[in-house]
Amino acid sequence: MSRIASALNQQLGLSSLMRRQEELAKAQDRIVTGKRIDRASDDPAGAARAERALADQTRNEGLLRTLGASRNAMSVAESSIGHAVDLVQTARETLVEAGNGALNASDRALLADRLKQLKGQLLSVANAEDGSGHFVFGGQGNDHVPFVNSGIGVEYQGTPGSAAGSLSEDLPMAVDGEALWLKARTGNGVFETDRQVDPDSTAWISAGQVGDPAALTLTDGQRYEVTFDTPTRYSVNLIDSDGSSTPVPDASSNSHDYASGTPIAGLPGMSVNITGTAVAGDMFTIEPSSPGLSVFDALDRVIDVLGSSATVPPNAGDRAQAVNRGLRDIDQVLANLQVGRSHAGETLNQMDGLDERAQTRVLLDKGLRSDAVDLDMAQGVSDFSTKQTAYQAALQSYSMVRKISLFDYISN
Amino acid sequence: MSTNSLMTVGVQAMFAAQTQLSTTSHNIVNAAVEGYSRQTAKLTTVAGRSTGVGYIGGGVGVETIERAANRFLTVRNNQTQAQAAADNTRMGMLTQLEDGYALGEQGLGQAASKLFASFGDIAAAPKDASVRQVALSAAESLASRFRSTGETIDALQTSVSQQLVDEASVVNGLTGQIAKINGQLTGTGNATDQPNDLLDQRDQLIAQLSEHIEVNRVDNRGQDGKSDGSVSLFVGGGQPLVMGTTSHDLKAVPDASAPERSRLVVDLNGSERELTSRSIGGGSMSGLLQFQNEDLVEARAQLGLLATSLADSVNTQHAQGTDLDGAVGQSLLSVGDPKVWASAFNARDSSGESAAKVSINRVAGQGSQLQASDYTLQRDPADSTRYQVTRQSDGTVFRGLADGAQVDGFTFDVSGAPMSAQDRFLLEPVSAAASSTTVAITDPRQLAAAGATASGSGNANALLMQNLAKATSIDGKTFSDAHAHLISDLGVRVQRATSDAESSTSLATLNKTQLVSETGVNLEEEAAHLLQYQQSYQAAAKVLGTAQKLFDTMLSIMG
Repeated sequence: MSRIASALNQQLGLSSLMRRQEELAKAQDRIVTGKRIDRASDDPAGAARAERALADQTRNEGLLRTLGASRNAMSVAESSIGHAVDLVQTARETLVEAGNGALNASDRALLADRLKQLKGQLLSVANAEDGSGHFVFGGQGNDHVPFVNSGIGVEYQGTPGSAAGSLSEDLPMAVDGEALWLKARTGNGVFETDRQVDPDSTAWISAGQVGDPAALTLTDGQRYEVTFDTPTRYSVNLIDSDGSSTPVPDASSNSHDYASGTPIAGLPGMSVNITGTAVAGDMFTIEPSSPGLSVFDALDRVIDVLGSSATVPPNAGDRAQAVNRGLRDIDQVLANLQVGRSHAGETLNQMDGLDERAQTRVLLDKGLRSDAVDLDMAQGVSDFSTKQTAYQAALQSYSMVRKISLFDYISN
Repeated sequence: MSTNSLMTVGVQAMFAAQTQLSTTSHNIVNAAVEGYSRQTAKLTTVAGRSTGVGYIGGGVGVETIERAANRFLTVRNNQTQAQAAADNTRMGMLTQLEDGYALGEQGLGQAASKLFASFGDIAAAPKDASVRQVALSAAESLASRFRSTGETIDALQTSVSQQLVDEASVVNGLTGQIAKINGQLTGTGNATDQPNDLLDQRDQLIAQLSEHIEVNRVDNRGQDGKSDGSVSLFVGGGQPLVMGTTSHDLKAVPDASAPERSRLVVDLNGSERELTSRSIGGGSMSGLLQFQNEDLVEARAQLGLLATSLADSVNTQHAQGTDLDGAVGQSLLSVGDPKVWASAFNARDSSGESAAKVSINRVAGQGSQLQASDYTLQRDPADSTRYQVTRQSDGTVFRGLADGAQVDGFTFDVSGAPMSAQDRFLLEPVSAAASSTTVAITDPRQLAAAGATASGSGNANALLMQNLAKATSIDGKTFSDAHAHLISDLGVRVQRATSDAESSTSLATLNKTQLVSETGVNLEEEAAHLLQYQQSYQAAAKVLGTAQKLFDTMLSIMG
């Protein structure tokens, strides 16, 4: 039989009561806070899991904010380009109108004014803001107006390239305005025609078409020169990048009779017309298209010719060349704008998918964290009531045992 | 048989019963006194005298008053209490340490995530002043969390040092009293009548002492080779705290190699004998030392590593960018400088400083090389012109290092007098960093969001800053991974310490229960004894009454 030391027994009884009480308080605390993990030692692995999930959640919430900003910028860009397309269409109609040979100088000046207005409107579209002070066509540095109309035409002041909002996802914050507005392909997109003619000449060269893409041999740095030896006969030569001249197709057959409005003979894979009355010495060039066509410059060139107040006004050939070239350029600009618009639209479409993915991820992370940290309420309550019962029983038995003592039976 | 002897028997019996009643009463009233041992009046039969009809018993006498004691259980009780005190103290300190690490939204990990995310927001609106301000606030909130956790650690170090000083003075008080009692007990070793209450008092003082620091108890022997009644007490490795009637002071002094930490020495008449923390078996001081030398050192190094590696990667990236005014990005986060401590045993120069000097620098851009550890620097034993660095966390040794060499992302420079073979330096590349983390810039315009070549409002660098969330810049881990790792590491540590404390406490309770079931007072038992001895007293009185009546009868016959 082991002796129970009264004082220690009392002390142990009391301390186990206090422990029960503490457990009960903890169980209650878990219910009140709704958390299973309050400190790392409650469940170290769970706490680490929750930390990782929270970090991932914060990252994805950040992605969603970026996505919102990007969506806004792309929406503005998309609708701005849409508006620009309308303006350029109007300019095209104006040009078609200007091609009418019956117009007099004041009619042409009126059309030139209309084109000037359209150019001004396009400039303000190119400088569109996204509502929070950012220029959507500003490229990488979009804190100041990207397009400025200086003495020599509209210049791009931004940093080329598009501004990404994220390194891991395609979330542009701005469109590469330089590429969109100033870098359409010149000519007809494949080659570019030009003329250097006598002031009296009315001959002009069409934009031309590709007849057989497989037959095209003109490469970067080369150009065809069509030279009028007499007003009725021209020769065709290929000028290479080193300046050397080669007859096309060969020395015996590079010279042809000229008939207005007919294609230049001997150009491989392409069909280009020269129209009007030529003068000996007139030269026409055909070189590969390059990405350097500014919508503003294209309009300026037409405006200059149509609205010219020079003492020797442009003749019909000059005007025809300007209008024809203007139409050609505007078609390229339109194509370029359409590409930009559909790119913005495509980006917006992809954002919907990304949005959904990021939202799912955030939900998943919240779930992971909740699984790790949050208390299963049913379990918490049952845990609490178990502990409560145990505490009650302990209190009751403690007080009952304490009541019994032999001293109570000793009477003197 | 004379009436006289009958009377003597009665009186003796009454005296014996009275002694028993006194002893029982003593037990009853001392039942709640800590360390009191139950006492018993040991009765003995008074040998009979031979008469013509045989031996007639001489009644009862009190031989002595005994103390219920169990030497073995007492020693074991002290040991287990010491272990429980050590474990509980360490657990308590670890719990306080854990309080310094908030979880979830309030935590360090989330503060860093928010800083990274805020650079993503800047990327979306590089010139928006309010977004920049938010990022700066996020950086400030991260820095303040580093500071507050770092300060918790520093405060705990201060608290450990202070507690060790306080406990040392308690210990010295106890050892002084024990030495004094030893003086009173010397010479009582073999006496029949033991000074029970004084022995209890000394046992209790030793028990109290054991809760602070575990001691070995040795009974002193006199010239005759027998116990002289006094005891000597030794701590870790055999340093004496009490030698008979002399006590030696225990002192908490700054550690020789790391003055921020404390160590214990025994002052033997002016010469200080060091107690290594491993040699101290138990007691709350042992728990404090273990917490200081293991848990706190590791916590400081781990937090410091998080702060320095993060600051390094953030600052390195920030310097790649351009701020709103076109200037190169400055350091965004600033952390505490690395520290070097010269050992107190180093060769001294005329001004009393270590003659050899060492400084260390963290290498910018090499933050991912840093490790969560302190280092020891000494001369290479194999080559006196070279140096040897030991990484303390795992004992890795780097030998044959030239002055200025790089180890784990930091470099060291030796100057002053040539280092002697005994010189030691404690290097802390990261440990002291976290508690002085600050944000180094104040103007949101100085956040370098743009790339190096872009105009001020570009976002290329902001994107790269945001991407640092995924960079494995902290000992091969991302910040959130390293932080999660630290949290679970600390949690496991606290969990293990808690379970250690629980098991050693229950072992101590078990031992204590065993001990006091032998030595303690059971009030029911004493109540029963009270009745029993009262009856004995009454019976003895009856004997006396009978003797009286016999005497009266005799007188009436004679009368």
